[in-house]
Amino acid sequence: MEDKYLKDKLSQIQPIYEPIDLEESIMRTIENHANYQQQILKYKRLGRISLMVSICIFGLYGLSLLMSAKQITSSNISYQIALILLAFALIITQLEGSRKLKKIKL
Amino acid sequence: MENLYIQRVLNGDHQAFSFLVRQHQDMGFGVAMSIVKDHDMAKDVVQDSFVKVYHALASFNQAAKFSSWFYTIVYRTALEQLKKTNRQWELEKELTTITTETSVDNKALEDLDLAHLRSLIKTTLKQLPPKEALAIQLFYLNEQSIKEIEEITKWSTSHIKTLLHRGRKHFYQLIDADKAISNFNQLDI
Repeated sequence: MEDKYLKDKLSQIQPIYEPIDLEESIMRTIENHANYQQQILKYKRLGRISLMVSICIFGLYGLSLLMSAKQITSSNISYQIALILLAFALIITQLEGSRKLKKIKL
Repeated sequence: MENLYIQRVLNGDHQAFSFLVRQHQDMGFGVAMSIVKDHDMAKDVVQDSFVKVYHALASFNQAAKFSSWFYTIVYRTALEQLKKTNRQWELEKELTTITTETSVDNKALEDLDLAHLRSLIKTTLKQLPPKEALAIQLFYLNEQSIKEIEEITKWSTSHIKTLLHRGRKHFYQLIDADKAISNFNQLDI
């Protein structure tokens, strides 16, 4: 079955195709992938921190709401609005972070 | 030797991977070319395959042959690439250029000089149906055994043998045709 003649002949003329050099581009791609992995880890860490902070802020907000439920003054209303805005800002930051993370993963 | 470099990569020495790239890129390119039949696309396939190899290196069984594992990845990546570009993996495409059966003359290559032979083989491999070209490439050029080709492509032994037989036949026919054309051109009419 094996055609020795053909095998010998083909081994004489190796390589058939012009040699290619992909070493640099492959190593660069691998390096980029490693950088992306590091960025993903960094975003995950940031995500965890901001999640903790937002939990704390929501906790504080809940407590202050309970405490100020009896006496509604303009100062504690503005304080509560500020807290709500801060909580929203944090949520938006987290969503942006996760969007960037998705882009990197793609 | 290869396993030493693989171990180094696994231990975090990314640069050791360039040895594997240098060692296998040309053979991988040949495998990709026989499937996609396009120079740039074949280069992309080899590049993607190496990136996949790098990320999957931890799962490679070091008792196995690295080249066979690598060619498996190249083969699958090439098929994926064809799918992406909506090109068909021409399973059983027959050569339309051959209309008559010519006898298999395995001494047909004898009179050709190496440079002409190289370009002729390159052209012939491009004209062969992808499956036959791949079988010829793996068996004769990349020196894989039938069993290894079976592992790479998941084709049966008998199918591989048929493809090799048909591939060889087509191969010699194309070379005969080329010889006939060059003889005709040399005629002083």
